[in-house]
Amino acid sequence: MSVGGKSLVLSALLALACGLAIGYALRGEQIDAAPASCPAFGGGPPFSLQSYEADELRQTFLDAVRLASINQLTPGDSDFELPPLLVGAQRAERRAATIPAEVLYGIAWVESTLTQTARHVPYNSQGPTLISFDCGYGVMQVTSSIFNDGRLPSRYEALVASHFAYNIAAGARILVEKWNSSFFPQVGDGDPQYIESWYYALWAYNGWAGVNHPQHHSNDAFRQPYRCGEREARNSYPYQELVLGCIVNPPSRGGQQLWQSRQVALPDLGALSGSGQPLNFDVFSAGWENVYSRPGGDPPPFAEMAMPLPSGAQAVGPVAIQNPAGLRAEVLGVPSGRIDQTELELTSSELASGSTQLTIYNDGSGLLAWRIVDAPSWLSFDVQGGVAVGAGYRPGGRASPSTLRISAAAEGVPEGTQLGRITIAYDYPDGRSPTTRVAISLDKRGAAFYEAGRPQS
Amino acid sequence: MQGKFGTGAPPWRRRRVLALSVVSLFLIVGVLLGLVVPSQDNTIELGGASLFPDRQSDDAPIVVASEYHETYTTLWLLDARDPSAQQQRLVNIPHAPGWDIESAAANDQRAIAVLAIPPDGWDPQSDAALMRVDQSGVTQLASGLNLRGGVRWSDDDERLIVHNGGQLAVLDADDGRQLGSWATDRAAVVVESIAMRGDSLWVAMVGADGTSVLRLQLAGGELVELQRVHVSETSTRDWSLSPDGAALAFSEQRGAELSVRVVQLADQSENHRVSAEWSASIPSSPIASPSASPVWRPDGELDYGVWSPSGGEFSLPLSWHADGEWLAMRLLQGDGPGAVESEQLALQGADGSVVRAPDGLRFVGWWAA
Repeated sequence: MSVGGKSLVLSALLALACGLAIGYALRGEQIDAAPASCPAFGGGPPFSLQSYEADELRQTFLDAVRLASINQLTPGDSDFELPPLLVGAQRAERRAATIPAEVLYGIAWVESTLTQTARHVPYNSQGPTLISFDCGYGVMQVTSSIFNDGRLPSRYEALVASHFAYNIAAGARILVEKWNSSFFPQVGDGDPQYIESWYYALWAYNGWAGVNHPQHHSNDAFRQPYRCGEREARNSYPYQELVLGCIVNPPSRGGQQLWQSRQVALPDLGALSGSGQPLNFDVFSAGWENVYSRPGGDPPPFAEMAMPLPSGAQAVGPVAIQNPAGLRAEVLGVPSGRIDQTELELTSSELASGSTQLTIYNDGSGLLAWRIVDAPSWLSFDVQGGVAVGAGYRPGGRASPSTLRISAAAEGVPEGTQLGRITIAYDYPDGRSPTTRVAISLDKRGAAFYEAGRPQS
Repeated sequence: MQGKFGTGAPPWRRRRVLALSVVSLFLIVGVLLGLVVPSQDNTIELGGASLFPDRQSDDAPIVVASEYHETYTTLWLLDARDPSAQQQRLVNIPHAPGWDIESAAANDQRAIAVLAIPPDGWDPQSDAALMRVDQSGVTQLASGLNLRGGVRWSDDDERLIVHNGGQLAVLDADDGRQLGSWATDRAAVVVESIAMRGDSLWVAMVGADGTSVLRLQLAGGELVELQRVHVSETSTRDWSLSPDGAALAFSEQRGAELSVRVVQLADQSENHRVSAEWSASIPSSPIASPSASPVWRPDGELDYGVWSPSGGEFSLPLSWHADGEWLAMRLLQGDGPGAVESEQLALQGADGSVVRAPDGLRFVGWWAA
């Protein structure tokens, strides 16, 4: 074979190898796909929001959890602060809410391994929010009070889905609501200082379902205690045992446990699951029959499941934070939103729908949460809200703006000029939600142009 | 001037064009192959004797066992006589972090049904996909199922029984078509399939009044309840129908205690038929207490596990091989339910010797060599 022929063969083989590599790479990493609809929570598609994944060692998120546990993450925010805890027998006493931080650590780990974004998003980066197939959002997999019905998200919905701190606050609030609800039974005298007291509230957080009963047949009767390890599957455990197992056996990252281990006493099934006893499966089943036969809920349907505090339980005081306000300022920052563009050009025709990009900056610190409040029906967006990162928040200190891609969804729009505006709201930690408007006109046969408005408040 | 590729083009230029064309073609072919070539994790290695080229014994069956990892589970084939040394990976099943597969081997030992939550899924009650693993590879049959409801083969291996939403569903084992479904009209009960023989599906229903057993009939695309009988005043688990269909064994749960009981479903003189006179309640016969995990031998005898409250090692039978000589079991160390310190899969041969499998393996079924 001539030199030229050999060169050709080698070149062809090299091209084949390169092609294989390119093709394999093009298959891409597994992209976390959000569900198409949320049948149990609104019926429509889930909200599309951008969020922020913090450090791999989870320290930023753990700081937020600690603040949330003592109601110092979003104090004064009526949508996110913790309501008073109803404590004592019969829940007769109101007390300022504190939750053992370990309980929230365990929930956050079991729900999402303490992550806010989809799994392919790198740490210290923005990306799509983690959304499960049952439309749970973010770190705490929040589903409650979110109505995925195809409209734009409310302040609450956008913050839960885009900002990890509000997501954690929402999860903590939901847990307190479960604790407070007379629908669910109590442990002991209802003293929240004991991790063991939260057994039923944890069960309820995941759903008051039979599969979470410790004696459900799908839970292995001969299971060993859950050790929160990467070599242990969840299949044979009720949810509350997963959380409590992670409290006893904290996961590690970077060679260090993410939180201090606490010993937790599980209910003594030997003593509590006999006939007529609180954790007998028949008693749980009878409780559900009460739900259907006594819609008024009086007496509470699961009152027979009230059980004593396990022997060996130890009180855990609220987490001590020397300067909660200071830590909160570190976690939330003082964001300041800005949109520079005053004019955007978008071309659209019968054959092609162009798109353009709006950039939202955070000139302050922390995360700036923003969302679309109002927009013409003939526009479409890649996200409905997101977060812009302020300076100093990420390693290296660089800010990272958020981008909104806008496309003309002009199908069905009559020929001629259409006028409208997009309203963007910034949701600040101090409770303000100023808006800024972008005027838009669309020439169905020509180009669209935009004008940025001024903040409205 | 002549055209670029005309007869007037110099030979070097024509060779260059030809070379570029060939290289481009190879590049395109490479890209296409890269897009479709199966990933390493989905390779299937099936076969007969080639599975264990150094296998010493040909009288020991092959066991299918699963090994859980955070984002995938491996199905292994093990030589029952030497599971530590004689083992071969069958397939890796990717799944959502934290959720192991649920699986069952077919009665003919030539296929495995696998339920797994896909890597981008999350909800064990509604995200599981059903797959079939056999000589042709891994085939997805259905999706949106309940992982924790498990999967069961019919006795003729033509159907699979799963939980779909709040219903029991019978699916075609080859293509996943739903052949029938059933849901109880009773509130606050748990329903679980026990066995499907012919068109009859036995089901356990557990509620506040204890446990009932139902026989459903698959006909015309529907599952219709034919008979129902109350078998226990309390909740039960581990239901196992005898080979002749005449008796049902289960573990009855009284508090933290388990005890195996047996219910006679049919007149002893009528094999394979349920008594026409099912009474409203059939008394069960206690076997031993404490005891659990009843498993029928091919010859109709019943095995079960027992343990001592003072602790120690004990075994729970899982499955007898069709030859009636090999038994798969769980070996546990501890005081009993809720007090287990460790466990291991083990295999007992006809001579009574027990061989332990490597740590971390879970029994799936038997595999035809």
